[in-house]
Amino acid sequence: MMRNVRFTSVRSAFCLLCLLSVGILGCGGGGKDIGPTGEVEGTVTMDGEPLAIGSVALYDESTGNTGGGELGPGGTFKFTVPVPVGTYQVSFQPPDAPPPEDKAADELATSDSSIPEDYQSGETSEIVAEVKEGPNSFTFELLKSGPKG
Amino acid sequence: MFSFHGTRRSRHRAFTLIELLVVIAIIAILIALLLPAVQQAREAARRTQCKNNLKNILLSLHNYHDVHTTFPQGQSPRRPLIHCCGGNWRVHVLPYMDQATVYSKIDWAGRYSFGGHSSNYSKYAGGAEVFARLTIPTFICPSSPLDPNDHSVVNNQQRGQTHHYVGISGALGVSGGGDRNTDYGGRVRGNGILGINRHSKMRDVIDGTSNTIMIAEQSADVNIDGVNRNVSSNYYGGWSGQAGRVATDRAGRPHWGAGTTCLRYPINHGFGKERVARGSIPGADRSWDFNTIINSFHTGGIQVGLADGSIRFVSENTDFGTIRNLCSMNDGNTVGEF
Repeated sequence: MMRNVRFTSVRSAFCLLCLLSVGILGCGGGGKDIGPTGEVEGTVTMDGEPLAIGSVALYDESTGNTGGGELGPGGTFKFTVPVPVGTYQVSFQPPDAPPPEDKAADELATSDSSIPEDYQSGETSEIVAEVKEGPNSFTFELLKSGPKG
Repeated sequence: MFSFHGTRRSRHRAFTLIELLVVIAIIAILIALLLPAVQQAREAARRTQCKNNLKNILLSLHNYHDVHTTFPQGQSPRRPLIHCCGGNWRVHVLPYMDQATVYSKIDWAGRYSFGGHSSNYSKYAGGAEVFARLTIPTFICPSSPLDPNDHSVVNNQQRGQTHHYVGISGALGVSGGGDRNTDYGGRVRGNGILGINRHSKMRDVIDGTSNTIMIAEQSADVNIDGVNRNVSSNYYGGWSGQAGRVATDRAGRPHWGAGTTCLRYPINHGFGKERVARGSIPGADRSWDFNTIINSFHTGGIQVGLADGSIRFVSENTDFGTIRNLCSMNDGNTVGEF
């Protein structure tokens, strides 16, 4: 009688173990491995004056990795999402435009902004940022006359 | 001693609690093994359905090419240009996918528009009201939980269909075609088959039709600073073409449009837990811009339709350079394994 009980309890313990291991095996996996990342912050100036509205965007043409954030008071920015390490083209976008529907909004979006058009694309901004693992700090100095002077 | 005595006793007592527990545990194990398999079988069925949709769309594009000796424009401007836009390729393939009844309702000679406020229907008759609340299942991936007539894509009060398949108008970073900045931060390069204001023929696909992606899935949302937003290329309800300043081929700065994307960001960028920051994806954070991200709810990648009519599953971990080469029809680069 004693042996019988002990035997079945060992068996059921084994079964529960199997169940647990199946459960554990079922979990895990998923998600892209982006490797080491760096935190990015810094300031943007236009002709020496802080650029307080708009956003800064980082783009790596070879991997498609991105980073970015909106500019705050004093032209400072701090990315909310860490950026994979690498070399990035930097572009600067005017503030968020309203959806295009009525004429006034369309005109606002297409009007000349304070940021020269060459800075609005990473391929023409001629500004490159190298993000290293850990904290990074950048200062971008823009000119109203554009990157070519 | 154990066997004889034990069996006689158990005949009296029937099953013990332990034995019942063991049986339940075994059944639990079997169910635990089975459930993921059932879910996978369901997802496999949905993926097959999605593949079938892509095949139908590719066939309709090929039929269009047979009739017109060219593929449709990815996004067309309106002629004559009145505020808004002509249709995109999804409108033009309708007669070739058994939807001629819908297509014939469009008043091409009138002041049609494919989206916008219902208060404007009297002004732009013959377009938006045809597509209001219409859902054509061929354009919907069954794996996607997104509303097929999602109004959150902005200015879609008439609830036009928000499609899950997007035309590829080109790819940045590879040669072939000139660049053009768009009005809202996007950038387009004219090296894809379903271009902006541009017709492509089969002969333009010099990389080979089996090496060029014509349409891709765009059936998921993008996690922008913790908020999942539908920024698929379905502004105005997914049927609209392009609102450019000049309505001529290869001219004018693209203003806004729907139906195509120029590849700039990787597959499933910002999908699920992989968050992206506001302002970090210019051209892809607005449903009306031209670099929207291709993504899907299929595990680990998206399905794409190549110009030769074949469907491939492309992993999100595929080399980004390879995908760029695939999206461009005339870059001249060799494409490796994908």
